[in-house]
Amino acid sequence: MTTDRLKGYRGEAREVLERLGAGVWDDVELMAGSNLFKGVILPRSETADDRHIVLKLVSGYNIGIAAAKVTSIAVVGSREAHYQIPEKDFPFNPGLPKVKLLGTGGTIASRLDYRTGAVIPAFSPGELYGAVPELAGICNLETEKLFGIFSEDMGPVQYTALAEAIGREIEKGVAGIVIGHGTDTMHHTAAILSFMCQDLPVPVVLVGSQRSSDRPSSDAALNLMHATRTAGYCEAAEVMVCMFGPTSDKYGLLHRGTRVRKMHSSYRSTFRTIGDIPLAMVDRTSFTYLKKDFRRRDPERKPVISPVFEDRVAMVYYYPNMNPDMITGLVEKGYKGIVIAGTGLGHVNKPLYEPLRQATEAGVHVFMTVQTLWGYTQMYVYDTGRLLMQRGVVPLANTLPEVAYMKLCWALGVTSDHDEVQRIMTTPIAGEITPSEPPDGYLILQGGVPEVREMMSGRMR
Amino acid sequence: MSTTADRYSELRELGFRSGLETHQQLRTPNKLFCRCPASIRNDPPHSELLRHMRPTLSEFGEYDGTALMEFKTHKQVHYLLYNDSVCTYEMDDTPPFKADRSAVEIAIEIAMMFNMSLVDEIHITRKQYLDGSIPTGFQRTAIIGVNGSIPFLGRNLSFFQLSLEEDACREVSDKGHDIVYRTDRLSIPLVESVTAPEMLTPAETAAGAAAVGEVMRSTRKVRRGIGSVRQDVNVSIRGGTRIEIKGVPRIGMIEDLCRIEAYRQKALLDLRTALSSSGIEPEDFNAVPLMLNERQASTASGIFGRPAEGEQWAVQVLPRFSEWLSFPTQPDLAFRDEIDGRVRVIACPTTLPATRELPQPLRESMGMDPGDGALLFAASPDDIATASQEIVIRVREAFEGVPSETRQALPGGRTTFERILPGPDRMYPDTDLPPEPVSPDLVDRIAASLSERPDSRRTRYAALGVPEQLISRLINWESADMFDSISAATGYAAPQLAWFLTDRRRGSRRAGADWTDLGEDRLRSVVVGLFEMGLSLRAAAEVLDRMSRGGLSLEDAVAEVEESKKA
Repeated sequence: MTTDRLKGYRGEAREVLERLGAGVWDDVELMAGSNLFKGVILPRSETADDRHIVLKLVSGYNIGIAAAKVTSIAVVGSREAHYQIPEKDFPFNPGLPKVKLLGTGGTIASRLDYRTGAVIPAFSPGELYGAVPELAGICNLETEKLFGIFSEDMGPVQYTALAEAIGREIEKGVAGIVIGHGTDTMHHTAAILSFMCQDLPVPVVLVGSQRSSDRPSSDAALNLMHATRTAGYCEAAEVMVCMFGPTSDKYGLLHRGTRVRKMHSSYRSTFRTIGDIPLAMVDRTSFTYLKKDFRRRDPERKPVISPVFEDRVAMVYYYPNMNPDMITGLVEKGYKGIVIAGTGLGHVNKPLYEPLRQATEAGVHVFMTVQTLWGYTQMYVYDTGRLLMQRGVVPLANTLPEVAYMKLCWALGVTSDHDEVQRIMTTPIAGEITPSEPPDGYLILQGGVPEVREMMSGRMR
Repeated sequence: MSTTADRYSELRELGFRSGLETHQQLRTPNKLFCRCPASIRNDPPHSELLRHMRPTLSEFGEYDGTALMEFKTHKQVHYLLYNDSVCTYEMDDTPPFKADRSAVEIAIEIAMMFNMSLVDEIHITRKQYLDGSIPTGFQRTAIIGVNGSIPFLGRNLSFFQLSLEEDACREVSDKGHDIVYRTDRLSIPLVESVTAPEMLTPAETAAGAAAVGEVMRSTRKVRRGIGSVRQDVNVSIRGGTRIEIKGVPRIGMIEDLCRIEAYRQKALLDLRTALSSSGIEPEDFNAVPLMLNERQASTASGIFGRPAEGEQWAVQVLPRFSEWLSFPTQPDLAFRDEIDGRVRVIACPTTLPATRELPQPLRESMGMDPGDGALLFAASPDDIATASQEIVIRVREAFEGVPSETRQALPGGRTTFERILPGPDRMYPDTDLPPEPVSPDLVDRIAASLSERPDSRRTRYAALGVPEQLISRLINWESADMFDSISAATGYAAPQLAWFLTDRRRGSRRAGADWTDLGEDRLRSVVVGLFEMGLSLRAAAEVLDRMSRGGLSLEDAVAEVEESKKA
């Protein structure tokens, strides 16, 4: 396939370029009205209008020129972009642990896409080393690009492929595995991998970035350093998310895969452990372990990989005035499981009682979690809870809603035995249900309060 | 200008050329890419943020030289935050909001005032700044107009472009590897106009800065006061290089800066010529830092004081270069200071000056040849190699002439190294915001209410007999519109009215009677009313003083003034 000389241009702008014999990456002298512009014609974003031509001026600035005003274009040369991070062979150091980086996409490594004007993922060990040479002092890195997709496009195909890849790499004897992942659904993937990959001998670390790596202030480099260090040296052999602790470039937090959630659309410090404390802190040189009850690294341990997933499962986020159709519709469509994110301690309104009863009677699994995220379901306190349990709805303690969803998808893949699914769901496997919540498991500081202001004053955020 | 032309005849012969990049903040209530108030803070900050910067690629796959240099500095960048006037945008924890409408419109208006061609679609571009002055690591900037010109000294001064951009943070301190910035100024909208290098003497450059400022201020939509206008002054001579003197805050500094920079370039060219016949070659210099032993180090500390904690004494030898270190480049500064600036900025030692010539006792103890140059510096182990490399880089550049640099103004018109001059490779498109078309309707609307250009005003006021100096004040103190409307509604003589609205009004303000307190509309109607009552401008001024200082009503103030006249 030849490269499209008019990449992204449509309609009027395309017609003008065609007529005047110019295309993208041409170095041109372009007359528009009485003005002469010198620069390189850039590809046009497909979502932009069809009336402008984009020119990169000699000064480096981009401008848009109305195609209708363009009277002549003289092509004086060509300057195609080769947007590449300088690629170098990743140096081998026999004293360092072997770490495997599995790529799924996302902005841990990325570059610009002129077609859409957006950031797209890019991935290779050489590129990573070119961009973050510090990695060579941490580990011997191997990479494998499993897929190149945005995290919102992750699904069962990718989850099972990832779990299988983890099994393969552990068999090969790596010291740890890093998974580069978009941040939006990183906690969903962390949850499903926690169930698909049990009894891990080494750490499996999910990492991404909140500011893409095409920016000087990106968190990608430091996150990657933290994650590879965790994979290579951390004592905890669990599925973990490794992302910024504070928004400052200070340290990363290691969150257990079943207790972590993205809590801000854009902050660097967006991932938080919910209802517990993180496993550890990691910085450029060391770990600070915050919890003691984690599975220790043991290369001799054999992992249990069960890459199964039943996708006829839904999550229903309850809201007042929810119509019973929301439940009956799912049952009619043949869904096998429903996870409800209920209000308060785990409640929904009365009109849902009957459809829920019919669902459970038909063999559909219905589980209750809390949309408050923090805290346990407690369905004895109010009549609503008791009446729901009477109708077959089963509370899942402090399992997070997304984690319950992933666990149910996995459990229904493991077995179709009704009682066994119920047993799996109510039994903690990877920390998704904890026996209690520590007093500092819920610590959202309230801005504006004088004592909080005083605490933050002079401190790194 | 004829006398200054004579004064600068030597510089003319050297091929002096200068251009200006004028940064002018716009008067908008909010910042450019977020909705925070555009306000300056000096109270203690509420919290702090720590970041590092890494270079990134331009869309042509090149690293910018400046960016790589800044990366070598390994700065820890601290940002001071205010809970009530900055938001997560300034922290680089939220994507930008759409550019402030009023800022875009003011920028279009200013581009029109410079007779520029407007772009048809505004593209936000990222300009990398790894010095940390912007938490994202890049400044969001967009071209609004290109190819302009204004009348200037009987000819035209041409403009390459006008861009709309966000202002950077204010630097609080820069010590060693820690640099501290206040985020208050960050993202205040500003325009940057870029002239062609058409000013041919230092005096012309200063006049150019005044002319550019006049055009911008005549919109009455730009910020005033210290720090609201900053000039980057570009200077070159024939055979030299374009040097950018960054962030000059006052026009009064420009002439000296230009003159001294031109002669610095001449000195560096002379040095090159002298070196070419010296038998020394650039390859003779290699970056090999020599570490001082314990006894030598204590000698050095005895002379210069102990280095900061974690720093060690080291020496870079420059074979046969001793005499050239003292080659004069600027008043009271020599070539060794060129080297020192580079080491200070890039290797970030906390012990200053960054480099010193090795004192005689140490030269002897280290067995130096008398003709060898030897520079002593204190740096942390990580920075020692960087310091040596920078010394050698700068010495090798002496064989080429004038290296491309951005320089910082020092007192007295001298300059010092700030960074390598950045190129177009530091520009790349901003993917967070879509391009925005400039609609013909908007352009028509702005054109219909465009302020009168200063050159046309000057001609008009001169014809009315207003002295040159008062014309400048009317325009620069934003009193020209008031002058026009009172002039049209009264029979006051133009020269006296110009005095009344500039010098007389300033006199009152300084004496504590600020007529501005009355409001512009009220002030205008009062003056028109006083004319109709037959009062002179002197009497009118006294009435206004009484109204604004004593809070008297118009009637009482007039009565008092009449009374005092009788007495």
